Amino acid sequence: MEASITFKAVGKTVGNQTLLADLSFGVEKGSTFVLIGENGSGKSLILKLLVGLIEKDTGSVYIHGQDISTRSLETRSMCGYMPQFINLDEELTVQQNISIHGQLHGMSAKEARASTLHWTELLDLTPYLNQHPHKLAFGLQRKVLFARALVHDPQVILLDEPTTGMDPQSRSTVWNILDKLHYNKTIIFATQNFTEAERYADRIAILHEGNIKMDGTLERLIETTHGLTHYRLAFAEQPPDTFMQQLEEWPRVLRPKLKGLQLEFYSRERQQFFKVLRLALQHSLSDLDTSICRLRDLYLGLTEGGLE
Amino acid sequence: MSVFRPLLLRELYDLKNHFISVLLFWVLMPVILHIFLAIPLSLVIQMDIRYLNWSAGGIWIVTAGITAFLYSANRMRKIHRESSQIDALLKAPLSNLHLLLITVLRGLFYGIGQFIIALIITTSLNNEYLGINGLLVVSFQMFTLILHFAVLGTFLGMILPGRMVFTNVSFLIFLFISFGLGNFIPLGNFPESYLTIIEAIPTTTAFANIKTVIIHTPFNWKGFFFTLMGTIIIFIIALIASHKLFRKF
Repeated sequence: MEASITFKAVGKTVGNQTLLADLSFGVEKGSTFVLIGENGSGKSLILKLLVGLIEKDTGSVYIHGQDISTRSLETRSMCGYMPQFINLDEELTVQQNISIHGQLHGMSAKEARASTLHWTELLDLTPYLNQHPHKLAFGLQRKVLFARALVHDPQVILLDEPTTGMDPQSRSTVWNILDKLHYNKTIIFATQNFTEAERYADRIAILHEGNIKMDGTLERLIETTHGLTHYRLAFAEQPPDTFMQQLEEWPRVLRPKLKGLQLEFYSRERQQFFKVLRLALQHSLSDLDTSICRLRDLYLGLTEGGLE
Repeated sequence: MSVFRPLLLRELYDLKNHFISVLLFWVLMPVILHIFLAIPLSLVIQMDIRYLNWSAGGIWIVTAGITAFLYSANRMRKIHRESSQIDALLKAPLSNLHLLLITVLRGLFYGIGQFIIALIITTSLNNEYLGINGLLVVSFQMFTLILHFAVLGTFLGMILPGRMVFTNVSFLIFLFISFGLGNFIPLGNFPESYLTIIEAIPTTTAFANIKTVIIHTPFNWKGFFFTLMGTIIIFIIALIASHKLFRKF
C-alpha cells in the first residue's frame, strides 16, 4: 500500500529530556493507526509535529510525499486535527468556529457553511449552532472540535484522545463516522482507551518514553505474547504472606500481584496455573477467571519493565 | 488574501457579537476623560488658547491609542497566552506574519473607530470646528499613532507573561501617555531635564503634531517619520519573537 505518512529517524529533545528518540514508522493511505502510551510518552507530540505546531530537531517527516518542513502550508492543509484540550474561540458561536476553520483551509464561505451544517447534523450539534462554546458541556465542546477537524474534508485525520469526556452515544456516533471515513482517509489517533484501539485500529503502535516499543496489527501484537494468558483468582479471606512468597519463587508464574483479595498473574503454561490453583485451594479461593492476553496486558508488560 | 478573508470575517463576527459593549466603550472613554480630566484641568492650567480645545487632541490620542493597544494586545493574549487557540490557527495554512498582521489590523480598526467617536464627541462638546485640511492632517497623524499602538499592543500582548503584569504595564502606559507626554499637561510645566529626555522620543513630537492643527503652529514631519519607523521596527521584532514563541519547544 502507498505510504501516507512517513517518519524517518525523528528526534526531539527539550533540555535534557528526550521526547522522541530516533522515531521511524510509516502509515499507509486509507488505514487507521493508533498510538497508545502513558502520559508523556510522545503521542500528542507526534500529532502536533505532523500539523506543524512543534518543530522536530532531527529526521524527516513526509505527508503524502511532501516534507512537512519545506511544504508546511500544503501538509497542514491536508490534515484535520482534533487536539486533546479545548481550544475553541469563545468569542464566536459554534457555527462560526467551524465555518471559519473551513475557510482558513481554503473553502469558500458557502462550502464551509454547507460542510459545517453537514457535520454538526451528523454529530447532533444542530441545536447548539448559535451558542458560544464555553456555554456547552465538555463532551459537546469535544464534538465541536471533532467537527472542526473534519470540516475541510482533510486527507489525513489526526485525533488526540478523540472520545475523552463524551457520553457513550456520542462516542458511538464519532466511531461510526470514522468507520465510514477510514476507507479513503488516513486516520491517526492517540488514546489510552484499549477497547477503542482494539476495535478500530488497523495498526497499533505502543509508545514508551518517545520510542515505539511495538508496532503492528492487533493480531500480530497478540501473537508476540506466544499464548500468554492472564489469570485472576479471588479469595474470600486474605491469603497468608507465605502464599505470595511461594508464588514469587516460581519463575514461570509471571508478575503475580495481590490486590486486596484478588490475585492476578500471567503464564504461558496451563500447568503453572494448575500449580497455583492447587496452592490457592488450600486457602479460601472463591472465584477464578482466565483470559487470553489482550492489548492492555501487552501494553502493561511492555511499559512496566516486561512480563518476564 | 484567501487566508485574510476568514480572519477578517472572524473579527467581523466578534464585533457583531459584542457591538453594544464596543460602542459603549468608544463613547464612554472620551466622555469620561473630558468630564473627569479635561474639565478639572481647564480650571487650573492657563494657556494662550482655550484649554478644552487644546486637550481635545489629548483625548483623541489617549482614547484611540489605548483602544488600539488594548484590542490588539488582548487578542494576542487570548490566542497565545490565555488559551491554546493559537494551535488551532497555526494548524491552518497561515503564517505567523498573517497572525500578527490581523492582530494589528484589529487594533487599528478599533482605534480608528474610537478616534472617530472621540472626534465627534469633543468637537460637539467644545463647539470646535476643524476644516477639511485640519481634519485630513489630524486623521493622517492619528492613523500613524493608532498603528503604532496597535503594533505595540500586539508585541507586548505576545511577550508579557502574566495577566497581572500585562494589566500593570497597560496602566503605566495609560498614565505615561496621558500625563507624561504632553497630552493633558502642557510640556512647559515639566522640568527642563525631563523635557530633554522626553523630546528625544519621536512619539512625543507625533503627539505634539496633532495639537499643531488645533493651535495653528508648524507641523514637524520628523516626529511622524520616526514614529512610523519605530512602528516598523517593533513589528519586525514581534515577527522574530513570534518564531520563538508560537511554535513551541
